[in-house]
Amino acid sequence: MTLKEKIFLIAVVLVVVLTAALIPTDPKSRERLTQPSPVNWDAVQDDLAQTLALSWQGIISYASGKPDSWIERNLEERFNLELNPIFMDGNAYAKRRPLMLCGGDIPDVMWSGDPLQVRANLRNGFIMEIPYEVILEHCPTYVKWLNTYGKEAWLYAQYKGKNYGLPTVCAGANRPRISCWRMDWLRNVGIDKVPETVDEMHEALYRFRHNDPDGNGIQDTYGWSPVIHHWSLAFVEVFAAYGVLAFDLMERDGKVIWGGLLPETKEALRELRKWYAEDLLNPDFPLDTQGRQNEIAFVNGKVGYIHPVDHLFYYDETDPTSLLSKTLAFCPSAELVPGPPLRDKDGVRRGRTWGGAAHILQFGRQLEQHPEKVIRILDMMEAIACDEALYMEARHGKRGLHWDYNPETYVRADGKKIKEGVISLPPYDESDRRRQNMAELLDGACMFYFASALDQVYDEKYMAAADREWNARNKRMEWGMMNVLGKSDVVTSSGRYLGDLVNYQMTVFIEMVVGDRDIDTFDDFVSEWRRRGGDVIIDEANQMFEEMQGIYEMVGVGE
Amino acid sequence: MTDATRNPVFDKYRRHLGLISMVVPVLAFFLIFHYVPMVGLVIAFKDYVMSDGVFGSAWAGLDNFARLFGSEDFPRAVGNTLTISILRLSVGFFFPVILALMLNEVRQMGYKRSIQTLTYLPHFFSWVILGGIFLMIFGGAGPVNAAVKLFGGKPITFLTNDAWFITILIATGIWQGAGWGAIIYLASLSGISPSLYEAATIDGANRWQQTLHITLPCLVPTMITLFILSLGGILTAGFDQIYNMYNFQVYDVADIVDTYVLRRMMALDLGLATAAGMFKGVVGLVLVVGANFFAKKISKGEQGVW
Repeated sequence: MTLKEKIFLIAVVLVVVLTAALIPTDPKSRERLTQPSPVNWDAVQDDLAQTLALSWQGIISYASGKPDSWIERNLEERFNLELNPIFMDGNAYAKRRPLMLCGGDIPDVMWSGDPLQVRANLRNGFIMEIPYEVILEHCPTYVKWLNTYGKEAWLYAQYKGKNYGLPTVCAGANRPRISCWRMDWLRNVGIDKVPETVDEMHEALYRFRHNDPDGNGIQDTYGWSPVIHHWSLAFVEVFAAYGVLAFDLMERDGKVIWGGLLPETKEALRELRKWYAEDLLNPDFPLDTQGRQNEIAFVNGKVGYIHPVDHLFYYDETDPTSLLSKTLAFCPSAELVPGPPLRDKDGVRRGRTWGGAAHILQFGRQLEQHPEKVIRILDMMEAIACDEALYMEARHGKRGLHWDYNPETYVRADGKKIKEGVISLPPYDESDRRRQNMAELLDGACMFYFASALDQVYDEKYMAAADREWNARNKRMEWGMMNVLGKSDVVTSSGRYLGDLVNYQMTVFIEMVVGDRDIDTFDDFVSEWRRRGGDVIIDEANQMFEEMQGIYEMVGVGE
Repeated sequence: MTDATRNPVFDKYRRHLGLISMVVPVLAFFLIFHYVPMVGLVIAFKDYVMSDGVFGSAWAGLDNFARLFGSEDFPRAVGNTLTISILRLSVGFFFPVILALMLNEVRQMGYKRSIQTLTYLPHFFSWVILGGIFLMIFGGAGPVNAAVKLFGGKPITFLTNDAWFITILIATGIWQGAGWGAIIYLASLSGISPSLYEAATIDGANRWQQTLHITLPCLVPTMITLFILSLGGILTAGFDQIYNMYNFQVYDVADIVDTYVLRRMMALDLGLATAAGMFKGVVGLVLVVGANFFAKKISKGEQGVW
C-alpha cells in the first residue's frame, strides 16, 4: 500500500465516522409509533359469513403443539376463522422470535408474558392500539371478570395512557406458591408437624443436615437446595415470612418502594447466612442457574424440602411424572406433605403470588388494515367467557374424546387409580399426546383462550372436592402478597435498568448468603442499587401508582 | 469482439476460465453470507424500528455508541472479554504447539494415533454437555472437592470464586481445544524436509537440538499466521463455554461482549446489539491488520498473512 493509498483509506474512515456523528437525531421518529390508531372503530363491520385468516403466536407452553388440533378446528368452525398457530417454547420465544420479527414476519395475534415485551413490541412498531372502549364494548363479561380478579393487568398493556393489548387473567395465580416437605424425614428427626415459622423451618433443616434423617449413618443430606434461576423464586418463602418481596415493588405508607432495600430483607439475609454457615443449604445451589438441581436433589433424597410445589397433582402416585412418583422411585419410604406459607412475626401466613393479572395478547399492526379480525377475536373471547360448553371445549377439548368428568375415585380393571374430577381419556392421558393437541388439564395456560368468568363455575362444577379442599387448606388467597403494580416492568425505564438491577441484586444476595460479602455492607448495596438506575425505577413506580387510579377509572373499576 | 480478444487482461481471464469458474462458488458464498449482510451495520447508526426496516428507520448518528459506552455493563463486558481472551492467547496458544511437538516425537504409530484421537475428541463435544460435566466435577459436592476434603483441606469454590472460575475456564478451554489445534501444526511438521534433520544428525545434533533449531523455526510461520488470525477474535472470548458455565457470583468477571449482545437482542434492542457487534468487528480488524504489519516489519517482509 502506498502512502497515498493509506491517506485515502484513513480519509474514507474519517469521513464515514464524522458523517455518522453529524447526522441529526430525529427525536420525533418514535412518536408516530404511539400516534392514535388510524382505525375508526365505530365504522368497523365484522361479517361472520366472511372467513378470516389469522396467524397466532400463543403462550409458550405448547412447543410440541400440532396445527389442526380438534380445539383449533372447533374454534375455526364456530367463528369462521382460519388459524395458523405458531408454537414456541421459552427459548424459541427469547431467541427465535426476534429473528422472525426482524424478518417482517409479525403474527396477527401475539402473546407476551411481561409488560416489558409489550413495550419492546410497541417500540418496534409491531403492535396496534386497541382502545379500552372497544374491548369493553365487545367483551363486557370478560372485562368484568378481569376487573374482579386481576385489574392490574390493565397496566401491563398501557403506554402513555393508551392501551395496546387484551390483558388476560388467571384467578388461580392469586393463590400463593407453596412448598413440600419430606414428612418421613421430619418424623425421623423427632419433629411431628410441618414447620410453620422461620425458626421451626431452621430447626427442621438443621436436623435434616445433622441428625441423619435417612438413617444411612452418613452425613450426606442437606436441608434445602434453594432456587436462584428466577428472581421470583429466590429465597422467596423466607423473605415473605419477614414481610417482604425482595424482588418486587411494595407499598409502604402510601409510597412505592423496592422490597429488596428494606431492613427486613437484610434481616432475612442474615438468617439465611446463618443457615448456609451451618451447612444446611446445598453448597452448589449458586451454580444452579438453570433451576434443575432443586428437584433433582429432592427426588434423590439429598434434601428434604422443596419450593415451589403448588398443585395436588405433584402428589399423584398414579402419574409416573409426578414429584411423588419420582421421589418414591429413589426413596421408597418417602412421604410428601405440603408446606403452606410460613407465618410472619405476627403469626400470619405470607406467601408471594403473581396476582390474577396474567399476560397480554396483542394484535399485529398489520391488522390496522383489517380491524374486523380484532373484533372477531374479541367476540370469540367474550363467547368463551359466557358459554360453558364452548369454554370447556377451548380448555380441555371434546368431552368423551379428550376428557370426561369422573364423579368418584375408583381403581380401574388394570389397577390404575382413576381420580375424581376432570380426567383425560386414552390416548390423551399421555402427557405428550395431550400437549400436542392442546387438551391440557392445567389451568391458565391455554393456546387459544384465556381464563374467564367461567373459571369460577369450573372450580365449583368440575374441580374434584379433594383439589378444592387442598387449595383451601394450603394456599388461601388471603395469604398472598403481590407486587403493588402487578409486575415491576410496567414502569417506563424498566427495559433500561431493571434486568441489570435484578442480576446485580441476585449476585449480592447470593454472596451475602454464602459469606463472600459481609451483610453489614447492606447499606452500600442499597446506595449502589439506587445509583445504578434504581432511583429512576422507584420514582417512576410512584408516579404510576398515582396514575393507576386514573387507569382503573377509565376501565370502570375506580374504587 | 476482435478488440476484446486482443485485450491482454481479458485474454488471461479467458485462458483460466476453468480455474475462475471453480472459485466463483466460494466468492459467491462470501459475497452473499459475509459481505451483503454487512449492509446491516447501518443499524448501528440508526434508531432502528423493526417494522420500518433498516432503510426506513431514522438516523441516530452515534447515539447507539454513546449509549453503549455510557452504560454500566458494556465497558465491563469489553474488559472481561479482553482479560479472558488475552489469557487464552498467552497461556493457551502454546499448548497445541507443545502437543504437536510431543506427538511428532512418538515413533509407535498406533500409540500416536490413539493419543491424537483422544486429544482432539473433546473438540466435538458441545459445551452444553461439557459445561454440565465440569459444573459437577468442580462443584462443592464433586469429586475434586471430595479429594480435597479427603486430604483434610477446606472445599474450594472453584466455580464461584472469580479467580478460580477464570482459571477453570481457561484450563478447560485448553483441554477442549489443544488437540484440535495441534492438527495444523502436525501438518506443517510433516512438511519439513527430512534432509534438514539428516544434515543436523551428521553435524552431531541431538533430538533436543534438532527440535530447537529445526522444528521450531520451521513452525514459526504457521504460528504467526494462527496468532494473527486469533487476534481477530480477541473480542470473542468463547460464548458457548461461558454461557454454559457462568453463574451470578462470577458475573462481574464472566459477562462478555457476546452475552451482552445476546441480552440486547432478546430485548429487541437491535440498534445497541449491532453497535456492540460492530465495535467488536472493528477492533478485530484493527488488531489483525496491525499484527500483520508488525509481523512483516519484524521479519523484514518474510512473515505475515498477506
